Amino acid sequence: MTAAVLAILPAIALGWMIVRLLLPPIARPAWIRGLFEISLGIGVGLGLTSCFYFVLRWAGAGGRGTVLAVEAAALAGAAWLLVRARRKEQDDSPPPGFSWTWALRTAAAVALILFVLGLGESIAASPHGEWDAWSIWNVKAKFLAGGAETWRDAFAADAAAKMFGASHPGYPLLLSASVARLWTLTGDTSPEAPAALSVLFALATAGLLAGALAFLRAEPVGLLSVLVLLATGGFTSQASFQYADIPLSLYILATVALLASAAAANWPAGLLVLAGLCAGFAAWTKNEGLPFLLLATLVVLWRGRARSAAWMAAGAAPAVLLVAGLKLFLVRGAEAMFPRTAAETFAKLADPSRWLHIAASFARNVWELAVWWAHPILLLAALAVTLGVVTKKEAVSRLWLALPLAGLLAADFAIYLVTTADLTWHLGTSMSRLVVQVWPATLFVAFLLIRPPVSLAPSPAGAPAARRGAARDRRHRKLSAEPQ
Amino acid sequence: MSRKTTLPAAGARALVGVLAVAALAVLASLNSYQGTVEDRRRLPDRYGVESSLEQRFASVSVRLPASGAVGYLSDVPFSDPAGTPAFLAAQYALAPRLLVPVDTHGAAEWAVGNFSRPSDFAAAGARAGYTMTAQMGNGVVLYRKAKP
Repeated sequence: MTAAVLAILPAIALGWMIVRLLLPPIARPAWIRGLFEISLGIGVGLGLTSCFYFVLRWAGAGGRGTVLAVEAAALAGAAWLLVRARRKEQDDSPPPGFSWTWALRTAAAVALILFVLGLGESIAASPHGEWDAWSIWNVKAKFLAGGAETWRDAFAADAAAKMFGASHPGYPLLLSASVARLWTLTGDTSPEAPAALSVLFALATAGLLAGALAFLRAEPVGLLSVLVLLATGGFTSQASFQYADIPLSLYILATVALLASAAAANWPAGLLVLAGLCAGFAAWTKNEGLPFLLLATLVVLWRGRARSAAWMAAGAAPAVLLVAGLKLFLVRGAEAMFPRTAAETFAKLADPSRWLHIAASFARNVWELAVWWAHPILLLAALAVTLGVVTKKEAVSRLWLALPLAGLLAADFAIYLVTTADLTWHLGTSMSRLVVQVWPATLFVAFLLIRPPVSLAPSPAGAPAARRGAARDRRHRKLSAEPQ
Repeated sequence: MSRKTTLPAAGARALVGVLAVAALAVLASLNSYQGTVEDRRRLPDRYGVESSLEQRFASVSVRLPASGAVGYLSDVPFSDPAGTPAFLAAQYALAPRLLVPVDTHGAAEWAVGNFSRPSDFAAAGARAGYTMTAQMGNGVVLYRKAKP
């Protein structure tokens, strides 16, 4: 485990430095800034090093020495740029507000400890992960790490005996390439590497949700959001599976959180490039990331105009080029789940029982996200009732963030409508994961619509603490619009 | 009514709501943890991946070339519910070699047998054009392409 962790560190350091370079100075307490930057940096760093590794493998130079040399050069370059940029942080005291934040901190710490203990138990029980981990993602990683003679089998048409549901030659390779990178660096194929990555992606998702909401709203909101996320059994149970769905949920959340930050700061280039980078990594993680990237870019084109969309597209370009290169030049074979004729497609689309079956499955999977008495929708509703929701105008100004999420779910729905696989089997083996992919970002948007908790103490001047807190909060929310 | 009396009430309601949500969330986390512990006890190595790696295919893996296609023979067909996990677990254990069922890729020089019960392993290999090289135990057999 130690070797795997050491091999992950350069990726985190690189990601953190790139985030520091592109993120405008944040007027927030250092720990909130740190949580936001490190959680985001984990995603960015693992995404970038995965791309480096795959490009080197493609170029025939995927050995340990070359990988280390390229990453060292990238680290040195990023460090030089960071020193040159000389960021001036604006440390600030937290906005006044909720006097019971200590209770939320305690609860979040307990929930986090239980989550980590649960991860440890799951990894001890299934060190090689669940079905898709050892039949798809980690076996592809073994092919990639195997060297020049085997790496192309990661997208070979005859892999997994061409079995439907097991052979996925066209799957994007962020996770597999990340695992292969660790195996190449450590010199073995121990299960500790993918297990460590799965833990890291899950913790980064929780950290980013808490950090982004603490940064955009207030610390108690960030703490409440992570409590609700960790109460979502559907999320926590998948965290140790070693599947690509939690990494995808991280990149989707990162994109949405960065777009929310960009919109609040008049669309600075640095935030948009970061958002594009994360959306591109979503596409490099799973096929579902492609429609998400497209939808997110279209939403930015609508809200932030062409220049903003261009910056975002620039950020997404490296990963998108890699996905295009993989699918156009390397993949042999195709997914066998689409109809062969238009007539077959229309017949499936016109069948109302398929629509009902999919809708019912979606509802059931949302219901099964957690135990009923602590279902996240119930918890969100309780918070909305007791804390109140933002004004209609504020809600409208934030709800656009949900459009790429809704669009992605609509795309998933369309795939189910036309799939040639047995629909019950297809829904049963994938729907719960699709819900988890968008769940952290959905919580993020939901918490933007709920008012933050404020102090019970009335102000000395008679003005409610809530109002003072809200005014201060608005000031805190303003970011520097200067791109770095 | 003056703000002084209504706002504390709203604040108290907010406090109760926030603390109740926090408490329920912690209880749900505890519930998830307990479920994980029970699953671990109930379902160790559910698909036989651990045993494939550590016990069944470890000895055959060291005798195979490090890369290339390897044929796969089994008495459990893919139509059997146990056939797919058995094949995929073997593929994971033997990767980065590419495991291919012998009926679809007869050109592989080496093949492994993955059998669920004792039988005439040599005859099973011969039917597919392979000579048995070694029995590795636990139903795992190493084959090599028969010389014409």
